[in-house]
Amino acid sequence: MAPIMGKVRGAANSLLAYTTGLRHLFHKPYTLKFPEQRYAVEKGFRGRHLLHLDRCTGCGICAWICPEKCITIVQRGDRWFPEYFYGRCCFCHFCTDYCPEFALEETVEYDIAEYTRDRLVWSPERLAKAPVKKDDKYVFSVEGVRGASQVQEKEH
Amino acid sequence: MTQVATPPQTLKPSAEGEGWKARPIRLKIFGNLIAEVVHKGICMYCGACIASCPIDILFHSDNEEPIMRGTCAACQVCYYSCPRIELPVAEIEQRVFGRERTADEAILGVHIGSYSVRAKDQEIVANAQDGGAVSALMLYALEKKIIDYALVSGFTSREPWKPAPKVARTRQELIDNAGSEYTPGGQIGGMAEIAVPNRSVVNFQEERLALVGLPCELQGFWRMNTHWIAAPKLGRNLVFTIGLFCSKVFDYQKMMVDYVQGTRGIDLGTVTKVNIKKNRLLVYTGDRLAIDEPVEVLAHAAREECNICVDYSAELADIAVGAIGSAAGWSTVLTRTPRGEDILNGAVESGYLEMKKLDPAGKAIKFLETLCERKRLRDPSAYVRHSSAFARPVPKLIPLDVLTK
Amino acid sequence: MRLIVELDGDIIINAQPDPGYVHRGIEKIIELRNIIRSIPVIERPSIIDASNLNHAWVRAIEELQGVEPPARGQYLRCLLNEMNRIMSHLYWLSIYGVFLGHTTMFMWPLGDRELFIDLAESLTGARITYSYLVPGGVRRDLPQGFANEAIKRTEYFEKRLHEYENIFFKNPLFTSRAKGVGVLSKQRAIELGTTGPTLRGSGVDADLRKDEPYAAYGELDFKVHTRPDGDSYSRVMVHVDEMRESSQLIRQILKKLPSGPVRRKAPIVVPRGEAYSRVESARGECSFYMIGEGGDKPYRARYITGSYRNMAAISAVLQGVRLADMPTSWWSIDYWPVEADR
Repeated sequence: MAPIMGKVRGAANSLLAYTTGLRHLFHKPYTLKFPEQRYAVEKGFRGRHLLHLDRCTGCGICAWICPEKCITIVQRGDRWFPEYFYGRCCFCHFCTDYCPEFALEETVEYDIAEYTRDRLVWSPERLAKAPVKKDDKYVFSVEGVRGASQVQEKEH
Repeated sequence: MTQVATPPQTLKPSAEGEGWKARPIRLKIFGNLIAEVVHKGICMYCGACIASCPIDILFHSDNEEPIMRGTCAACQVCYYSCPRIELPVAEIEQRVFGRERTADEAILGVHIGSYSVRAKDQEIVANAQDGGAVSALMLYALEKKIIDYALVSGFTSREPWKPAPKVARTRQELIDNAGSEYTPGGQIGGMAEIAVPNRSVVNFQEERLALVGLPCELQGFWRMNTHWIAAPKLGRNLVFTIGLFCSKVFDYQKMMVDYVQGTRGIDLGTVTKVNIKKNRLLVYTGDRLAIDEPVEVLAHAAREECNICVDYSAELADIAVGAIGSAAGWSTVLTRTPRGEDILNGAVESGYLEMKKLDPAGKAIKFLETLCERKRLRDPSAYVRHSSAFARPVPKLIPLDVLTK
Repeated sequence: MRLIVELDGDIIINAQPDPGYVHRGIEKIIELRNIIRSIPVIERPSIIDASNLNHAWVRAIEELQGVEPPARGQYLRCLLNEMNRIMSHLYWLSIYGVFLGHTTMFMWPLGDRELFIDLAESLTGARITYSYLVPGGVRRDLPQGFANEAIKRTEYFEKRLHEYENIFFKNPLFTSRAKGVGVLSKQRAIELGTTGPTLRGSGVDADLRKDEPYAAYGELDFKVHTRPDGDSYSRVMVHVDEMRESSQLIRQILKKLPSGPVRRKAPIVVPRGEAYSRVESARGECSFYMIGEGGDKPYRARYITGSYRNMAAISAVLQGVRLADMPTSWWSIDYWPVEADR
C-alpha cells in the first residue's frame, strides 16, 4: 500500500510542480531590451564621479585612499586636480567619502563604456561636466545617445 | 603594412599604480604644525586640526596637544585649519557676520544686543556655572527641534575634571555636562567624532548641530571653515555657536592635579564646581566652599599659550555668554548675529530664560569693555593678520605732575 | 577548482577536491594596502556574500583599535548581513537547480535575488560590491522609505519561497535524487571541522550568531535551523529555512533599529597586537587572524572562509555516491571555489 501511496503522492507533487510553473507562462516578461529600455537605478547609486573644480585643492587624499590606485593628480597651471582611470575603478567611492573639500560627488551615470582604453582615462575637465539629466529614479548615460552607430569623436 | 599599436602616454601600467606621487612643491604635513605651533608654545588646544583630518589620524592627548597615530597623507588640511598659523580676522568676520566690525565695535566686536539672563529651569540653575544660559539655550534649541545635537564640554570618565567634547541630545545629558572647566578640552576635535557621518556626500538623514566653545576654539572652527584648503565639510550642518568669555585657561596637571588635589588635598572626584570670580579661585565640593584663595596661587599654572590671545568676549560667536557684568546667579549674554538674537528671544518667549536688557553705556558693559581692553594688551602678532581689526588701545597716562605731587 | 574522482564502475570510491587556479594572493595583497584600501579586496573572494566577509575584517580591526561602533551602525551591519545571506543562498539555489537540470529553478531565484539587490543598492549604492562596512561603523544611513520597501519585498519573498516548495522542494525530481544521497553523519561532520549549513544539515546546532553573538545579534530573536538526516536534502532544506529566518530577521531589525549616528571615528591604523575575529557567513565561519605592528597596514592577516573549512567534507560526502549524483551532493555543501582559494 505504501509504495502505491508514495507513487500517488509523487505524481501529485509532479503535477503541482507543472501547474506552478505554467501559471507564470502568461506573466509579464522580466527582460529589458538594453539600451532602448533601461533598468531604473535607485537614488544614491554609485556611478562615476563629478569633480568640482572650484573646490578641489589637489591635496591627493583621493589618490592616496583609492583601493585600485586609479587616480593620478595632474597639473593644470598652478593647481592640481585628479584624473581618473575608469578601467580599474571599482566605484567604491572612498575618494568621495574622504575628500575634505566636498569636491567629489557621486553621480548615477554608469554607462561609460568606450571603444578604446585610452578613452577610459577621464581628465579633470571631463569629470567636471555635470550629468546630463539628474532625475530621482531614472538612469541615463553619459554624453547622450550611445551604441555601435555612434562612435565618439576624440575630445576631452 | 601593419603598424604596431603603441599605448598612449596617459596609461601607466604598474602594479601599485602611479596615482599618488608627491607633487613637486613643499607640502605642509602634521609635522609642520608640531614644529611651528606646538613646540613654539602657541597651541591652545582648540582641536580644529583633530577635526579636520580627512583620515582621522589625529587625536586628543593627555598633554593638551594633538597627536598623530598613523601615516600622514600630506594633504595640508590640518595645517591650514590651525588658527595659530594664520587668522585673517577681517575675512572671517565677513563670513560670520557679513561685514567687518565698525569703529565703535572695536572693543566688543560685532554685536546686536546685550542682556543679563537666567534660566528658569531650577535643575539647570543648580548645576550651572552662573545663570545657566548656555544649557538653557541648548535645551530650547533641542526641544524645539532647531538642532539635533549639541556639542558641549563635559568630562570623560577617565580623569575627573578633565574636559572633553561631548554630544548632548537630551535634557539629562545637558544637565550632566553643565558648568565650566578652566582647562582646555580640544572642543572642536569633537566634531570629528560626530560629524563623521557627514563625510559622506549622500547622507539621507542630516543632523544639525550647535557648538559651545571658548573664543580660541571658535577661532579654530571658523578658520577651518574659511580657508580654501581647510575642511568645510564639518561646518555644513552648524546652526549656531555659543562662545564663552575667557581670560585664560590653566594647565590641567598644574592646576587640578598638583594644586587642588596635591597641595590642598581635595579629591578631584568630590569637586562639584570651580569658579574664578573677582580674582578669587573658588572650588566647591557639594555645598561647601573648599578653596577660597586669590587667583595668584595659580600663577604658575597659567598657560603661556594664552598670552597671545586678544579675544575676551568670544567675538566670533553667534551668542557670547559669561559672568562678567551680571549679578550673582545671572549670565551676561551678547548677541552678535540675527540668528543669535532670534534664538535668545525665542528661548525667552518659550519660557526657558528670563532676560533683562543691559544698557550699552552702563556700568556692566563698561566693565566688560575694560576687561576686553586688558586682554588686548597681549600680543597676537604671531598669527593675526589684518591686525587693524584689533585696535590696540592707547593707555591712559597719568600726568606727571599728578604723579609727583 | 577540480574534483579528481576515482570510480569503480559507477560508484565513487575516492573524490579529491583540488582547489586551485583561483588564487589571487589576497592575504599578500592586504599586507601591502592600508586597511581601508583592502576592503574591496576582502569582499571579492565571495562577492555574493560580500558583507559578511567585510564584517569579519572590520571586527578584527576594531578589536585591535578598541573602537565600538554605535548601536545603529551595528544594526545596519546585521541588516546588510542578513540581506547578503539571502542573496548568497538564492544564488547557490539557482546553481543547484541548474545542476539538476531544472532551469526554472535557475531563473527564479536569480530573479528574486533582484528584489534584495535593489534594496542593497538603495542602502549602500552598489548592487553587489558594497564596501559598506568600515572600521567604526557603516558608511551610509538608511534612506527614506527603505523600511516599507523592505517589508513589502520580504513578504513577497516568503510567498515565493512557498512557490519554490511547490515547484522544486516537493518535486520528486528533486526529492528522489537528494534524499539519502551524500550522507554526512553528525560524528563525521564534527570530526572534519565543517561549519555553516553543511554542519547544521547534519544535525549539529552550531551558529556563530547564537554561540558568540556579535554586532546586534545578541539582541535579536531568531532560530537556528538544523536537520537531523545529514543527506543532500537536509542541507538544501537548511538553506531554505535559513532564508526564511533571515527574511524575518530583516523585518525585526528594521523594527528595532535604534536612532543615533552610524559611524564612529576610527583611525587608519592597525595597533600592535593580535586579534581573531569570526562571523557566520553564508557558507560557514569566516575568520581573520590579524597581527598588527602599529602602521596603517596589517603585518599579517590570515583569512579563512567557510568554503575552505568545508572542503574536507566534499570527500566524505561523495564516498559511495553514484557519479550521476555527484552534483547533487557536492553542490549541497555550498562550496564556493573562489572563496576557498583566495
